[in-house]
Order: sequence, then structure tokens, then C-alpha cells
Amino acid sequence: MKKYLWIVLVTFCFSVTSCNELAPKVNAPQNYTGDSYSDVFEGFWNGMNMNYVFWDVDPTNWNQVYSTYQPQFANLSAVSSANNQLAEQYFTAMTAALIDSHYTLTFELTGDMVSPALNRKLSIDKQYPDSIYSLPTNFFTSVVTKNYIDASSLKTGTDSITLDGSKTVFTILMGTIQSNILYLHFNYFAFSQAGTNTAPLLNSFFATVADLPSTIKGIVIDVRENGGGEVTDLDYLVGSMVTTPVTYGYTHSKSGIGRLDYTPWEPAIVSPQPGAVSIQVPIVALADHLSISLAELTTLAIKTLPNGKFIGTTTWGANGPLLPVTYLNGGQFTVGSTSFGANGYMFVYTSSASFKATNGLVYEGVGIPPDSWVPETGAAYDQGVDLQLAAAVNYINSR
Amino acid sequence: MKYSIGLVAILVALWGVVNAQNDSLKASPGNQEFGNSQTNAANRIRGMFSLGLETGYTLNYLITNISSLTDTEYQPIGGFSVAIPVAYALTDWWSLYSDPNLTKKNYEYERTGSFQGVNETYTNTYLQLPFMARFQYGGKKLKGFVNPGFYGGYWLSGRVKGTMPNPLNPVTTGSTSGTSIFDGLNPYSFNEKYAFNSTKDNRWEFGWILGAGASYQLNSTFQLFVEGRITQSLTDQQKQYMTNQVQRYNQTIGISAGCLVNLKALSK
Repeated sequence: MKKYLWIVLVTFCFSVTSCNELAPKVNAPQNYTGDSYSDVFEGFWNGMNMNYVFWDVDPTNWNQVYSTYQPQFANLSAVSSANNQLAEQYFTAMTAALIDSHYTLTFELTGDMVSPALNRKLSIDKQYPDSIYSLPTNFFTSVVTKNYIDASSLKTGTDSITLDGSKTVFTILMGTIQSNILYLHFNYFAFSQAGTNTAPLLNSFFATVADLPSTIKGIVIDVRENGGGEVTDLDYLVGSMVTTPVTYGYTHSKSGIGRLDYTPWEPAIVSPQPGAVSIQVPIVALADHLSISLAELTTLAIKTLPNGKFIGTTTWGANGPLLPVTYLNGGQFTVGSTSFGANGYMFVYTSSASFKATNGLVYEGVGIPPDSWVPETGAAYDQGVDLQLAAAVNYINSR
Repeated sequence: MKYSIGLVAILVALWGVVNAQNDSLKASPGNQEFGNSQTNAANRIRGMFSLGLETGYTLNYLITNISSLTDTEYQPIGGFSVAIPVAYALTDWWSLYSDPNLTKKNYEYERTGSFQGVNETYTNTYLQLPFMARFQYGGKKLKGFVNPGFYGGYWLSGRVKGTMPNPLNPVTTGSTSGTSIFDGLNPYSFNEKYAFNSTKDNRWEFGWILGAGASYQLNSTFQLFVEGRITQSLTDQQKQYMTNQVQRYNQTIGISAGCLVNLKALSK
């Protein structure tokens, strides 16, 4: 009996070597060949499991998506123009309810792009036309500049910058209102790219903040229609007005390949900048439904300040920061680069981390609600009135 | 995994050496009296109930596959175990054996290369109830033993500490041209209680155990022992919450020392 026991135990020992095989590998999305629609689907679906950061709050049933669409992609047997069109329709439908409002699919074969958040906004826009469309292109020059900014203080400048690989125009407008409110508007967060026409304006604004005249009763930071940009600018801007760190939210990112593998929440902090002063007068963030990404976070940071106030309309709802995928093991990724080259079959633009406010709420896909909801109207514009800026001026003057 | 297999092989070999020593002792004519006294002792052992205390060091491996992630790996982390061993001798060479225990099953999520310094160390405490058979063989005082069996466990608590880059706390002063992730993003260090996720975390664990070691009978009451053990979970650390899920299994190797008290002898 004992002799046989020895044999059984040795066999038992060597049998445990198979444990590693209990955990099969799931490929990274870029490593799928992409040579069939089934393969592209698998790469995308698994890539979303690994890289999408909102699975803990997103209502989309991703397992159900797999059950529904896996057979449909399997039916797209041959690569053809017609099947490609169907594939794009399927991908669009699969992602329609995702809350990530940065989320964009780019199909490299056709150049087509899909943004679920934009599609949802367009749908809403049909119902609420007064607070949906972009402000008129001349809004800041014809209404704000002409009717609100003190002419003697007005400074404007424009430079060319590069954001996400594309050239765009960077505009800054600053001055005072009624001689007692300091006003700053800019259309992107790209301070580090400010050139000869815009850098002096930023320097002027920060110099004024650093030595705020006693006549200034409030500051308005206008990020309406601001598309976001470089994270460092939030610190440069808000951090110049505080002397102690301010926590305005938290982020967490992926820490594994499972859908619910997350890091702990880490604080989003405004760090005081060298030479910062503690601003005691009211600081008003003006933001609207086209304030996106860092414009929203900056608005929230200002709103968090004891002397901060957010006036305008609910922001876009794209709060998650964006970084290269390797930084936080999550976020934007490419599917099928093996067959299609560096850009793959499809590029998925998505947040690298999830953000929640200090009140515990995740505003992704929802937008940050204003303290004071003031929509613009066409009728007011026709009369040269900026309802939101007027509300900010009234608020400051009432303090 | 390689280390654990090696450890098991060494421990089984140790048991074999003790076994062989005993065989050679018995084969010697001068040891006839010793053999008889051993048989008498074995008769006394039957029906004996022993209770004790045991503590040791554990090293836990998270068996999974994250090879699709860039510069990322799991590393085993050390911990400890505390147990109350209970044995009931059925014959002179085998006993029913259990050692309800608290065991640390720790591991680290670590990033390498330019992400060096990014890590999360998980320290998890499990309450385990093993059911084993203890097969022992050897001399009057020194014996080798092997404990194969199964266990059930419950993930009582966890703690996570580490450092990661903070995406909303960028480095805004000095040079940002370095190659480390922390040249661009400030690090954030944390040390907090692990918040269980009822959708994901499977707190129940079942698996097999194989231990081997040696015991030394101090007198009729007290027995000292050392044991090496591998504890392999057969249940995923996660509930089945997603399609194409990659499983995670705890594999814990440990070495412990303890003392068993013969309650019958103690009561005399």
C-alpha cells in the first residue's frame, strides 16, 4: 500500500504542471489579423473588454452584444464593399449607447467615422434648438467684444496650433467688463503652443491675476465651445489662482484585462503654480453644451472652489482623460494592424481613465450641470445680448 | 510555478529519504528491539487526537495570462499563515488531518520598462478549511509525512497599495523629456482597503493541497514538525461575469513549522 502511495504522489505532483493552461491568452486587438470580418469583430470586442474604462457604469450589455453580433459578422463571409458597409453599420449599432463621449470609431478602409455621443446630441438637438447649435461664428466678436468688453482693455490674438495631429486656430480674447471684472476666453487648452499673437495675452492675464487690482471684483473664465486640450493647462490656469491643492474629482483606469479590473481611485488635483495667489473674489466658469473634455474638467475645478461658480448649460459629457494606450493599459486602440498596417482596420478613440466628481457622480455621457442654468437664445443674440455672460456679470456684481 | 514544482519535488524527495532511512534501520539485525518498540508506539498512536499551532511563510502566485498587456506582469509576493492543526490517527501510518488557517495570498501587478515604478500590491487574507490525509513513515522520533487533500476557503479581506501615474496631475515644472512615465505624470501612491466588487470577485475558493515534511516526537505529548505545502485553487478568483474571461487562480506555496499536542497524553 505504501509503495503504491509513493507512485500516486509523484504522479499527482507532475499533474499540477498543467495549471498554467487553465488561463488562456486573449490577444491584444492590434494582433488580430483582421483578414475576415469575424476576426475584426473578435479583435474589437475583446479590445473593448480590455481598454474601455467605463464598464463599471456603462449600461451597455457587452456580453449580449457579443451574442447578437458574433453570428452576424460570421455571416459576412467575403470582404466586399457591400459587406464592409454592413460591418460598419453593425459596429455603429453595437456602440450606439456607450457613454464615453470622446468615443469615436474610424474605419480606415473608407475613412468613415462614428461618434455615438455626437449622434445622441444631434438627436436631442432636433428637440431643443435653442441650446444646441454652435454659437454664431461672430458671436465673440460681434456680441461679447462689442457689447461687454471695455474697449480700452480689449486684447485678442490668434495663432495656429496642432491638436491630435491636425492644425487648428487658437484664439484668445481678454479684457475687463465694466472695469471691475477680468475676462478670459480661449477656444482650446494649448497654452504651451501659444505663439507670438497669443502668448503675450496669456502672460498679461496671468500677470494681472498674480497682482490682482483691488478694483477687480470677479473673474470670468469663458470656456464655451472650448474643445479641450492639454491637461497641464488646467493647472496653469486654475493653479494660478489657488495656493493650496484642490481636489476636484478622481480618476481610475484599467489594471488588468478583465472588464472590471480597475486601479483604486486617485485624486484629480489642481496644483498651485509657482507665484500663485489665493484669489478671493468670485471666479465664474462660463461653459456650455459644446464645452468638451478639459474644458469640462476646468469648469468643474472652478465650480469646486469655495468662490467658484458655473454658469451656462450642461457640458458635453466627455470627462475621461486621453493618453496613449500603453500609459494606463487602457484607452484608444487599433484593431487588425497585422493585415492593414499601422492604422489597422479600425481605430478606436476612447478615454484612458474614468472620471468622477468629488460628489461621487460620474458625469461621462451626462455632462456637468451648471450651478446656474442659463441657455443662449437666438432672440437674445439678435439683440446683441449674451445671456450667459450677462448672468455672470450680474452674479459678480451681486456679491 | 517552476519554483512550486521544485519545492514539491524536494519535499517528496525528503519524505523518500526519511522512508529509506527507516527501511535501512529495520533491515539491520541490531534494530529488532527498536522495531518492536516502534510497533508498540504505533499501537498507542491509533485513535489519538492531536491539536496544535502552526505558522509559516507563504508565497502566492496569481496564475493568469496578461501577455497582451505592454510591459505588465504579475509577481508573487510573500505573506504568512497561521493555522490550528488537528490530527486523528487512524493507523500508525496515516491520519485524518486538517489545519483551519488564515493565509495571506499576496501578489503584485507590476509594470516594467519605461513604466518602472508603477505597481499595485494586493495583500489578501483567506480563511481556509483543508481536509487532508497525513501519510507518515519513519523512525521512532523522526518521521517524514505527506499531506494530500482538498480545501475550501473564503476571501476575508484585501488591501491594495502601490504607485501609479496620475493622469490629471501632470508634471508642469522642469524637464518632461525623460523616458519614465513619471517624467510626464506625477506619481500617486495609495494604501487602502480593497473594495470587493460583487459582480467580479469570487470570494469562495476550492482546490487541492499537497504538503510534505518531517516531524520530530519530543515525548509522548509533543510533536514538532516542519512542512512545505502547495495550495492550488481550482476556482477562478473572479465570478463568470464576462464572455472570453481570462481566469485567475491563486497558487500558494508555503513553508511552516508547528507543534502538535497529543491530547490523550496531556490528560494523563
